[in-house]
Amino acid sequence: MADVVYFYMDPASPQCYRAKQYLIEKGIPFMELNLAEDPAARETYKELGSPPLPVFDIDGKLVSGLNYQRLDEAWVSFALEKGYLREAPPLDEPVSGGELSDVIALAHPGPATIEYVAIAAVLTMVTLLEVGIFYLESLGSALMPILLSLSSLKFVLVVSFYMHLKYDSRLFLSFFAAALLIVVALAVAGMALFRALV
Amino acid sequence: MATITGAIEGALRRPRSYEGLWSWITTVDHKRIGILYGVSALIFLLVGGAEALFMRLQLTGPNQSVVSPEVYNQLFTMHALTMIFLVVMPLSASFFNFIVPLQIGARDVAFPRLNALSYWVFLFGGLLLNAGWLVGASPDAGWFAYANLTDKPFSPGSGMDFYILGLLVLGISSVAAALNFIVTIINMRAPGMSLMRMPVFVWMTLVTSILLVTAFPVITVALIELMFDRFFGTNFFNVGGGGGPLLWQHLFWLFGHPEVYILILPPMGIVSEVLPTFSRKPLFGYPVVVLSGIIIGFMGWGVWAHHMFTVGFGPVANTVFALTTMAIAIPTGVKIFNWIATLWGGSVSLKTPMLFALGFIALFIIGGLSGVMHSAAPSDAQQQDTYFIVAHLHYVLFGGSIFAIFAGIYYWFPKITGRMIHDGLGKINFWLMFIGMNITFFPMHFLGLNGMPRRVYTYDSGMGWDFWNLVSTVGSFLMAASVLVFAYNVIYSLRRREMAGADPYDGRTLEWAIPSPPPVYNFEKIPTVSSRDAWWAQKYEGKYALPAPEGVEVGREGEAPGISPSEATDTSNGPVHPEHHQEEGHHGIHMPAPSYYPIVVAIGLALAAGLLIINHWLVPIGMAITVFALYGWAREPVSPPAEAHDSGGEEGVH
Amino acid sequence: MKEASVPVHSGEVMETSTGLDHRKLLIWMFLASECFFFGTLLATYLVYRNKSLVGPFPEEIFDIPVTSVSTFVLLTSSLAMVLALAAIRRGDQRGAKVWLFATAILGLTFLGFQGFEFYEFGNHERVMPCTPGLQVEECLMGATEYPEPYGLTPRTNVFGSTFFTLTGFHGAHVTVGVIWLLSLWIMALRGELPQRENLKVELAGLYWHFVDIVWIVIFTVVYLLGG
Repeated sequence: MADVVYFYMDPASPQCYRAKQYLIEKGIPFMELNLAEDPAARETYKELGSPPLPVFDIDGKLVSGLNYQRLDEAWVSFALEKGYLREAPPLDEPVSGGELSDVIALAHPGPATIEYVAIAAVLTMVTLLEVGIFYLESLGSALMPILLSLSSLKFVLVVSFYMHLKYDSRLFLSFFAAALLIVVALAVAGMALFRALV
Repeated sequence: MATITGAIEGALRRPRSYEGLWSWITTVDHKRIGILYGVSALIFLLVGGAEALFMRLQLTGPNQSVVSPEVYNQLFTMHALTMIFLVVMPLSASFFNFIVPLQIGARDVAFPRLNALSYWVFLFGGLLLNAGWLVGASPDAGWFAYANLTDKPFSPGSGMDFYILGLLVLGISSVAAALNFIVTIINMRAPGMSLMRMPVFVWMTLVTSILLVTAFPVITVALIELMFDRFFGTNFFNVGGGGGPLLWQHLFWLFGHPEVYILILPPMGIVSEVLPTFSRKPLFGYPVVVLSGIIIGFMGWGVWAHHMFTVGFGPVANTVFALTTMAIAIPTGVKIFNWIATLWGGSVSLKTPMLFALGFIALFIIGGLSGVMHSAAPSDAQQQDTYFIVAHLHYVLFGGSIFAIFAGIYYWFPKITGRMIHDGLGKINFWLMFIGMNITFFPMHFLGLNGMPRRVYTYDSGMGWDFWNLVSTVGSFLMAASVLVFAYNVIYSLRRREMAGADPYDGRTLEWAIPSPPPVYNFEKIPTVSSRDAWWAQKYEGKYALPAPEGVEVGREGEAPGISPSEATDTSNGPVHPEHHQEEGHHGIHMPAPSYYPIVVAIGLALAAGLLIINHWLVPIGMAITVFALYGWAREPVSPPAEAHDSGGEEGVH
Repeated sequence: MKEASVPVHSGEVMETSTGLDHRKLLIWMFLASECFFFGTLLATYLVYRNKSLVGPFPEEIFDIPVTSVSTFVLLTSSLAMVLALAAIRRGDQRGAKVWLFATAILGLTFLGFQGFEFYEFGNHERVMPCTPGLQVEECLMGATEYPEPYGLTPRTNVFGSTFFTLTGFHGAHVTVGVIWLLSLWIMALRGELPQRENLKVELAGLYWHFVDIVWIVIFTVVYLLGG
């Protein structure tokens, strides 16, 4: 099994909502399986025997229902085994996600340093390519589409990897993409109207 | 570094008082900010109304000279700017502030100090916009301020400077507030309140806020370009330098049309709350009403050129924009039919808020229909710049926005003040306003079709315009009387002290589940929502709406209707003692502490903008104040340090 | 600075409907709003392309090699920014300090290039041939051509107005970003930027990368295609 808690949830259920808040608050790394949206998750959930939600699958050990104590116990033994926690927390202390660095790293999936550098290299190469193409007089009217595509490529690379939109919440992506689409559409329409008249 | 920090923090020590004038100046409570917005906007309503009365007096008969042509130009410009930016938008913002957090079951907005900043920037921006009256040079080029008439050679006075800088400052306020509300609505809903369980008013707030953050950058750029033209001699609208007048029209209306929906969508949301309450029925077709609102907001971006039909884009472009404009009538019509269907079969009670909501529907239909008339480009060529347009826009903005906002004021007055508002006086207010509004604005249709242009300060006799102008002026004084009745009603009802209780109208949404006026922390326990109209569901369907303690399953069957909220909380929480609750309310709930910095930042911004008109070199004074306050703001924790230690509680507002 | 070292709640996970932090949602909405701001400025530049009645025209004064270098500097600053974020998430305080400072310095370098460019444009000269009877010192001395002032300012023509407004506002955004980054760097130096507050770096990073992508578009559309 994987290194995270599989968390089966129904977005309409307040218990599931509270469970998710708890996981986030404690920094416990989890993968959300949304039964309302994910047919594959529904299948697995059925195979588990459809226990009451929320369900936490911690390395094969199932915790069903919102029982913080049982969830904590299962998590601590799992985290000890995986090395997220060096030692079990005393009983009267709240459970946590363990070594903060591991948890933060797990909670923020994204490229590794070498990939960041590789992307920077690609960005530089594309810029050089753009400047080179700019000096090619023979391209004529093909210049604009080529340069715009290269520029868009750089734009997408920075947004997806440096701004982490590839890994981050879809909400950010949809807002940003919608804004960009509307801006581009308006600018093109406005310029067409403007040029038609002047 | 440490000494500077210490000096700043010493100079503006954290305010501790929760009473008196200072507590209002430093407040970050969304309810108080909502009240501040509302009171300021109602005062601006009197200013804008007085401007309108002067104009009507001037136009009572032919060749009058109540005011000079120059003053008349300033009057119609400032009337429009005041009513749009200082009355309708802030009144909507007032309801956003007071009602939205209550309806989504939150303790405050996401960024309380930013919220206070929005209000103070709005107030000082409004004062800056009006400061032109003091030096006798208010903006005088109409609210859309067509460049290059507003460039320095054609508007040499400082009037347009007040316009540019006033609107830039107000734009900061609007965008800051809108960002705040988007985050609040997306992120601070009570558990279980999915998007499709949100009240329609919350939905319309969200759509309006998205329009605000996207439309205001466009006008900001246009204003900056105009400002550079005037102050630094750039060529954006200067034909001699290669620029031209068309750019301003595009940019202004690209902003201007979404702005129209910014003015009407929140009122539509208010009506969608009032009608179900006073029909004792759920809103008919909730998903369709919400979707229509979203579509109206989205399509608002695709119709701007219908303000420019007479510019001459040619048949293809004009047809495209005529069609998109007509298409907007579809979602609008869908909303109207859903509202009417909400009434159908309901047990309708004609209290004042309901009267205003019904008045809204009737008047908005008239205004909407004349709007569809303009959407046909050839017909618009006839109506452009006539009183027909004036009639149309007042039917949608006065008959639409203002009527719905009055519905909202009467509807939420008991929640905001804790006192009932007198219903009889309210009805007098409604009928005076309804009759006065129709007498004032309906004749303008005839005047416009008879060719009377807008923005003329007088006219000759014998044009056939004398009689209807006289009628219109009489109507305007009826409306003025209705506003006086309203003012009297507010004062009378506040003094009468007829206590409202938590839920005087048998409401449907969560704001009625808590005492009136709401305590500073709003909800003792954050409610858990399991359906639309969450409070109604709890009262009548036995569905559990207020929270149980951790891990307790509650399903209460056959709950008696009309149960008071405090009882509801107590029973649902089982054996918990009321005293215990109070204690928890005191120690367990951490509200953000008041702060001086928002008002100081706002003063700095407005001062910088104002000084720009006087002398460019003085601007750094204002900027220095802003930077100083922003630095203090960034260093100031959200809660005072004393409370910081035990703030790990789940109920803390972060 | 005892109280300042305990900023309440920031860095902790908040209870929100979406599980997303308020501030991160705010900055993304703000960036969406900024798209409209820069989109409008860029559209203004484009509708006024080739509309100037007098020179200098873009192709006469743009110095593509120099601008390419400043573009490279800004792209590199974005790399430094992500490395700063990765460092603070790892708990690598030293790396965070180094990369935050590097990002700010690269941003300042970009601003230096921009200042140089604005100065050069303003003091541009062109070489004119001497014609008989021309009362110019060089020609009277016997030269065949003479340098004539041919500077571009916002007042010169509509190209100057739109160009300086667009790139000037971009530069202003870079300046704000540099101040933001230096503030974070000072906080890091004073130990006020622990690992759990990595969101503060992430927010600055999002803003910084946005300013970078705006420049990516400006470089292609204004400099390479704008002539």
